[in-house]
Amino acid sequence: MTNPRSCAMLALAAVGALPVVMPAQEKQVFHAATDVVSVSVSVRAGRSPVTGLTAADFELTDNGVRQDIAISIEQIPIDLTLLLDTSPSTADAIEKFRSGAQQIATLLRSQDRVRLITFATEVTEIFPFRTGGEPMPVEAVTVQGGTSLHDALVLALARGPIEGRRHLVVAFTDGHDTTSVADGETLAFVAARADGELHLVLSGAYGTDYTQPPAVRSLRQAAEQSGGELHPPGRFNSALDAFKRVVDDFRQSYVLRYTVRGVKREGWHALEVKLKKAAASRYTLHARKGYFGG
Amino acid sequence: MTQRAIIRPVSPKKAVMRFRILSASLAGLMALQMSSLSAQTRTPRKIPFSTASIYELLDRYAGGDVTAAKEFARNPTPKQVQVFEDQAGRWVSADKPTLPKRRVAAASFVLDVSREWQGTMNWVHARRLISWACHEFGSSGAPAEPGEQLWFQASIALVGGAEDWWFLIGRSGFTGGRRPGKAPLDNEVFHGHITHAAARFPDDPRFALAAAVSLESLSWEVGALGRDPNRRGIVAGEIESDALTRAGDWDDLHPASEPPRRGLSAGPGVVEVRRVARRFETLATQPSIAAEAHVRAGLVAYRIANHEQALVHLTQVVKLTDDPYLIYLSRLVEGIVRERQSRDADAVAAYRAALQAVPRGQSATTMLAARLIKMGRLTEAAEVVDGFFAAAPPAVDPWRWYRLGDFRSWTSLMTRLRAEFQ
Repeated sequence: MTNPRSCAMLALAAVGALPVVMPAQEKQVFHAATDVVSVSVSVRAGRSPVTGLTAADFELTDNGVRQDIAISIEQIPIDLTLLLDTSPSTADAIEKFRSGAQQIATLLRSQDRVRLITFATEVTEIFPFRTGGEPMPVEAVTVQGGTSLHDALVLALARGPIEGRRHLVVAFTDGHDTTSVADGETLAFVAARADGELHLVLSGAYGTDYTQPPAVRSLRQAAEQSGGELHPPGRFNSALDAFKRVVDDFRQSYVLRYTVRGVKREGWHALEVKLKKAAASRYTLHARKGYFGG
Repeated sequence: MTQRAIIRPVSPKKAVMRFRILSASLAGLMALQMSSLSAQTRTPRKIPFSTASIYELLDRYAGGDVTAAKEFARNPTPKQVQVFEDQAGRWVSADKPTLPKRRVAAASFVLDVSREWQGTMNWVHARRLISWACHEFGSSGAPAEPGEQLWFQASIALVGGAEDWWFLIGRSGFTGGRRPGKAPLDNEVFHGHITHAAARFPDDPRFALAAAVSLESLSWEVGALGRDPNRRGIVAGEIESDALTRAGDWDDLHPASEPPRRGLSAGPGVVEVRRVARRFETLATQPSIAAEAHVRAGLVAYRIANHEQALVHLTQVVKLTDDPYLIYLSRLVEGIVRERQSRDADAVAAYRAALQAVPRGQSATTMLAARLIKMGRLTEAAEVVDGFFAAAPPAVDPWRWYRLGDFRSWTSLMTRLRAEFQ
């Protein structure tokens, strides 16, 4: 039986605690008494994913204690939250998103799910999670005033852990918050603890923002705390291009799994993942920074 | 015979006169040439609204046709605004028996027009017309009446909605500024629109509250510079401790003196924020505005890290009013103060109480979800957010109104104002 206190642990377990040899999507991934933690790790060399790594190439510590890990690349269904900034400053980006939305839908598999949330001053769910691969109803997306970016990210990340599914949040925005109630510090804290990987794709409509560290520091911190990334303006040609790269990466990421040993299960667990390979300095590694142990 | 030039002596006075005539002739000739050139290249500028059409618009508006104001607001020009100023006064006094109602109607027309210009470059025209209407009331010598009082409330709500705080409190309060000229706008900008309202209705505490709200809004970025790009969030409004310490030094050294006067570009500082806190505390003793004054006193106290005092104010609100807007705000801010005190359970309870007052309010939902996630209660946070997204459209969030003064009352105030003359 699962200990009630380990509910938060389930969140991490749900990231991919599947036996390597089994097809992932139909299985109950976490119903053992052991505290199995799964951590998604993406490794890139420049713009290309690094493949062929083994457990021996990684070192993982949980609250400073080294853990024995198993490794896999698993086809776990994705719950994708698309988050679209609909403030007037991003009008061009919205149009590009609309035109690329159906192609984005085709990149998803039938076992994946997708929902669309838009935000200006108000945060609105245009449609809730629906089966991937089907056309997305994006007609209701309209430009409005204000930008509650932080609030929208908090609300998008606040999704309960679902066994056998991974949550990916991809936000298209210029990164310029004007009307949120939550500050950057709160957002980073939430991103570190929520069950989801956050990617922020900056449109660059306010290109100067990226050159102002205070405007993007908290956003980058939030993305990196969740194991995701902040993609600066100009990195991608289109929303479709950005989405394809992020999803490909997410699918090709390694899942490190371990049974917690040598640390108390309660409270916050700080995670550190490193590569032991000599070439590691040339690689970029993204993994979430921790989890709640209940 | 040699011709001799006849040179007559000319007196200096005549010489000057000749020079002037010559100059004037040349200038006239040049002007004529310029105007003929101009006529070749430009069509004469057409003033969109004539005297007759201003009269017609005001007649229609006074009869209940609000679209007349929208028509006037379309594609405004400075000339059009000037024509209105010239003609509307005549329209008001065209019928003596109904003059007070016509004055209120013309002033109300100005507000409906200005609403169309809110948030646009045309707001500059709105300032001028509101100043004109204010001058109409102030210079009439007529006794202050309820219609005028409503107009002042509505105009202050509208200007608050445009976040034009300097227009409300004037330039003189902070720096002295330059002396006002004769034009109504100069006078308004110098003294502040609220000053004129308070002069006409000295017993109405809402105008004192509006002035304090303007100062509060102007002080919002104090101590937060460079810390966070989000200037509007409640949490981002908290003043950094070193800024408070520096300002505290001044208070300790000069307890009875005024703070050093700053240039306009510097705006208010921590000392002014503390002064705003004291203003709200005083206003909280006035029964008709006590609940809102307590909410605002509570938030300002939080910003200057006076958490216990903040809670004293915030917990008063529910005893004084059943207005969901004020209860929501008081609970929302209370939750944030409780977080600062590391009293997580109390913070969660406060956010939940806010959501009872205004279900699915975005700011309380966000803060509650964030706190629950921080506490590791992910499933509970997800339930709160699922409830928020489940029903559409989302409820209007009182926090959106908070930073806009009394703009939330705009619609109801205008409905009442129009009833005064129709």
